[in-house]
Amino acid sequence: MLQVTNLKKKYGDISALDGVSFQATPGRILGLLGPNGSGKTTTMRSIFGLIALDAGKVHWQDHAVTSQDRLNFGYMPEQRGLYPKMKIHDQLVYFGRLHGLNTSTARKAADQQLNDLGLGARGQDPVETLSHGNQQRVQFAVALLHQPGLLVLDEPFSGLDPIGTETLGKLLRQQLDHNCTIIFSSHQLDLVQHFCDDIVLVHKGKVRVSGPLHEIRTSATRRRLDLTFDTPASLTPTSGEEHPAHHTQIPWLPPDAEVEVLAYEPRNISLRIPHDLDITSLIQAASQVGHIASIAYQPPTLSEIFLDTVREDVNEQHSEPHSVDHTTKQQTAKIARNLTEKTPAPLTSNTADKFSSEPS
Amino acid sequence: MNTLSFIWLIASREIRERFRSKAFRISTAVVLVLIVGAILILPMLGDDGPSRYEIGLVGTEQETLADQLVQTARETGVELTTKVFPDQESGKQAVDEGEIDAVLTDGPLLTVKRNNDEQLPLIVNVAIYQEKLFGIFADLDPVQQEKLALLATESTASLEEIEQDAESVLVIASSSSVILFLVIQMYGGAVLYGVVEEKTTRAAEVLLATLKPWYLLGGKILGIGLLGLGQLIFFLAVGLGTSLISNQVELPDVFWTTLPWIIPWFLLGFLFYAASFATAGSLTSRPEDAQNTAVPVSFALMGAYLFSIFVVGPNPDSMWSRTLSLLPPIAPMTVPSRIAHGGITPLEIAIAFAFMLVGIYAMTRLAGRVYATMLLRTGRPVKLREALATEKTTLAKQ
Repeated sequence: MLQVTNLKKKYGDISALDGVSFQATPGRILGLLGPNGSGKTTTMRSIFGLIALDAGKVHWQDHAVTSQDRLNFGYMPEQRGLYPKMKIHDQLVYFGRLHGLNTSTARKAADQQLNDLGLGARGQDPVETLSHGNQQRVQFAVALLHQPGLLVLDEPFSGLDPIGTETLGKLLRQQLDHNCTIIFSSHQLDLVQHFCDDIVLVHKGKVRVSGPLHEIRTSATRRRLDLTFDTPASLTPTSGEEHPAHHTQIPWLPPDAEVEVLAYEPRNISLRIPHDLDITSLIQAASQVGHIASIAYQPPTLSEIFLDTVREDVNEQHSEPHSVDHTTKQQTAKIARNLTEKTPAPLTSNTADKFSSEPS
Repeated sequence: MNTLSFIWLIASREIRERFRSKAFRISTAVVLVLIVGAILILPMLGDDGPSRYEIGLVGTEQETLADQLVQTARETGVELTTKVFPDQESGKQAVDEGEIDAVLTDGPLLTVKRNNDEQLPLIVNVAIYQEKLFGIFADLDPVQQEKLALLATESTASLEEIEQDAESVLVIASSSSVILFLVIQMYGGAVLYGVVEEKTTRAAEVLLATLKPWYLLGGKILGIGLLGLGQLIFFLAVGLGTSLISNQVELPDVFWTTLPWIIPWFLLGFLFYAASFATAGSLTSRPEDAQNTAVPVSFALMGAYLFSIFVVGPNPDSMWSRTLSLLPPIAPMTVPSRIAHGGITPLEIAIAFAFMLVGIYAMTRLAGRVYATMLLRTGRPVKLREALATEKTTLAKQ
């Protein structure tokens, strides 16, 4: 088990880490999630002693991490690091040897990894001849060639297409077979959330939310409701506005309930409602104004949970009402863009397998 | 795996990958061709005139010179034959027609076929003077003859030796400086770009996540150094082999006394400059900036080379040569040069060696410090002072 306790690090006046603590458990995948510049890379580097911490401890199996422990760790940094002119197979063997494997074991493991990644035929090619996605796969293979006890991957999904993302996610799951502890970071919360067992949401060097993903989502006090109607006319609000400023303008919503309108289109409406609001009565009321074609009722996504947390922070920071609204909207909009980068929905695993051998 | 295994693993990668690179193979092939070519072709290019002459003699006085002319010519490595002509006209006609190379007539006057040939008139002049000397010599009594003969032999021999030695010493001294400068520059540069490459490609972060920085630096310097040493020995062996087999160049004694010192001084110089280049490489992450950050190191190396050629070469025993040549940045190029000149004492060599070890230790400490703290720094080049002020990472403290 990896235990990270009260990590602190300042760069000048900027606090990169401000008391980050969490633990990662063997056999589970922990997602260290947050927008760019939230302290994810600094946290990961501190596990490998690559930065000088101002305070805090990193413990592996109940003792401070030693250089011997690090031989048993696998690391994929955010900025990929391979020798461009070195042959792919040689490179894997080299890094395997650096992690303590003997030559024949490293060679076998390299063969295995290249075949698993669909790069078996490219072993004798220099890394620089591979496509970006395939170089990423080789980097990934370098990190897990020696079957590490702890696998740390910094933004492993960054720059990958949906097929690559699914393939990598599947490979991560496979590593759990030998009880590996896995930590990966990402700023694309919703895209990768289904790969995580546990999550740590960080923002401005602080942990905002942490725990098992399922618990976090189900314990949220809000739910998302998406309704699709057959007839657009039935959605017209009383005021006649295209997008109602307030839910009270929608006649079938209870006026005293704390409801947020996320989307309002002729046929579709998306709402955030309290988790204890009677959903049956609400749907019944909605069905009075038009025939409902589909209903989706689910806990909030990670980015929604995250944005709620960030919005609260920003609200706390600003006391003047006018500036609160302005700044809050600007900051949350910026973070929201960052977290919910438009990425296509993940494909099914069958499709992913079919396309996993990406041509370079 | 222990420390040495890790360092050797890194060193062997450096050797293997560089050995496989096209740049290495091409540069090795080019240098080989140059070495073998220089040894085989250069002696042939020296045009000292024909090695065979036929000379016409007209008149009794000239005819008596025949034996002396043949003898003098033989001493200078030239084959000469004589032919007697009855008169001046027939002799000159033979020259004009190209039958003979020159004709010696009364005067004595030498008429030559080729105006630019300096060798033949010299041979003829020396032969005439020697013949006259022998005439004077014959008039002396036997005791004086013996004394004079002994003196002449001794003085001739030692003069030849001095001239030959002075020339060889200068060639060997300069060559040792040139070779050491080139090899240290080439392999020091390899360390510089090797460090920058790992920063540029970010391989450094993956490596440092597993290894201590000094394993990485040590392995890199060891690998590149061994490759350089191997190449140096290979070039020296090929050069030596070609000379011995072709028998084109006669190797003077000073060559054999200087040669064994080239290897240790390459190693000392390489370690010192490799650590310096590694420090310079750590300060930048872009290959295009590497030349700039390495300017002080390149200047020191170039300065040492120029000092060796222009100060130590002409005046090996001057005060400046004797003192400055012992200091670390300069010593790798000047000490072998002074060994060739022969004016350096074993104590001076020992002092230079000790200074060099201290210099290597200091530079390695500096390189290790800067390398460990700067290896993950990217972007603009960093000043040395700024790098030293940066706090160490956990790895750097190990």
